[in-house]
Amino acid sequence: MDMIMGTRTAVITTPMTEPSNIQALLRLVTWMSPAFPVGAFSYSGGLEQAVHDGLISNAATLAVWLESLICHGSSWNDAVLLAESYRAYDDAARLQQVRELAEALAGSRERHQETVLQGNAFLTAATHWPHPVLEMLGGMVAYPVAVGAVAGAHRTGLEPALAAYLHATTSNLVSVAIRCGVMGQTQGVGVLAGLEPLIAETAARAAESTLDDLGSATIIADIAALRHETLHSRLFRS
Amino acid sequence: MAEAAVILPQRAWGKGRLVAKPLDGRTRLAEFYQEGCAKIRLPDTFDRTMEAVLINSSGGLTGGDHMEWLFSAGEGTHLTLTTQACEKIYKASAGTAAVSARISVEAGATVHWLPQETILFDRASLSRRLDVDVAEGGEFLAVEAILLGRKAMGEAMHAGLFRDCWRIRKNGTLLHAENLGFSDDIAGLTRRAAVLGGHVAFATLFYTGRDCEQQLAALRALTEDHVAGVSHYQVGGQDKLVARLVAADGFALRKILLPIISHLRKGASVPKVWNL
Repeated sequence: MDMIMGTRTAVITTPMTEPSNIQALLRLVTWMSPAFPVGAFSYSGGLEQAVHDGLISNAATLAVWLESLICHGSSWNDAVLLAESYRAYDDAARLQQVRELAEALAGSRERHQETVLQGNAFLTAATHWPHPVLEMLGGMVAYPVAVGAVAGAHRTGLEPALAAYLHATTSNLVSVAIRCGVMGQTQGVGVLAGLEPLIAETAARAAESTLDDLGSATIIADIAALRHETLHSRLFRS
Repeated sequence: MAEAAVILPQRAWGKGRLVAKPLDGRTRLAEFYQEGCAKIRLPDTFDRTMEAVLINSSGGLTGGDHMEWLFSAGEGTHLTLTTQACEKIYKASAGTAAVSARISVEAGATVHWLPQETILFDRASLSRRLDVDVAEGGEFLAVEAILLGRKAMGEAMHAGLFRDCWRIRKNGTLLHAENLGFSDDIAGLTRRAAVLGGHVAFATLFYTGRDCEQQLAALRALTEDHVAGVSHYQVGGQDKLVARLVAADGFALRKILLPIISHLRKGASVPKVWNL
């Protein structure tokens, strides 16, 4: 399964009980596809406000912003929460703990709504892949926790799941920036291509993380998410 | 570090505890304990509230130092906690300074956690923890202001570590969590537009009480002209207000914070020591 996303060695348990590489790959691309009905397209995590404030004005400033989120911000914290949920999928008490933490960490009303509504929608859509973890999670659950627990239950491989999640959420933010007129589609793809090594490296780092590794420094990005609540004309719900 | 030949440098250590109880409608001392470099002073108050001023008599913290605070506000009491001065975190030659505060807010009680700014100097290493339990009907306000170096003095924090972890529970629910993490190349990190955009002063404000929703508009008005934002929302059916602020330096940050704190304290000013 470590072959899905590239070159690093991942822990592989007995191959007999694992889904095939292709099956795991198909599930991850389906779950993390923009077509998977979680409504990702309607959230910007405060990016729309940052564009409005002139903090992001072109492909270069967008790339640095996304890099900050991935290394020192909400994306990194999401990755740590996903990793813990992946490992906790069959432990109700541990899962409850990470789920509570993920909700409490959401830094604004809209960020809280964004993560919980996507998490709930993810679980609803994931019923096409039945597993007891879905009943265990039922109710309010943050997006990285929902993805992590379901991926863990289906043994997609932790590192591939992390890479797919980081790629999907970053890709969504690139799409937000394009829709805000920061740059064109071609440049947007260029930003994603440029972030590929960082996403792979961060997925590897997050796969080894514990909840003690949670840590964010992106204060101004958090402020942008807070201020988005009062942004007058807007395309996005966060 | 475990070998017998290694002589560990002397480290500051302190432990302070205060329990407040209600007596004839006022807030009175039920338990008081201080050990090591942790001191607590109680200036006279002339109303039903109590103000406790925390002092680190070692004059600052460095790697390996350890401070532990424990506070409990009994039913219906009103306790303000502040510090005598800004806490200075100096260059750590080894280890990390650890500071923890545990606060319990009983039913109908109010606790305002208002330490003065924490200043981190170059190569400082600090890990902090704030654990709060608020009973139903309790009110809790926390403001933590951080300065990564002192700009006016030409003292920047280029490298080091700062971790701040908050866990605030209300009525058993984890209502709010914070995990701040600055490490390694602090100067490079703070220059990033999504981090601090070159500023070095920032603050986090948390409030939970019966009137969160009513306070939102006033707090928005007090923050809108600054690099700051505020939100009111619910987690697990409990209300909270969260605000973040960034400013060029400590003085500018204080100027924004004072009216906000005063507003949430229902007109009562910030603790007297803040103005000295």
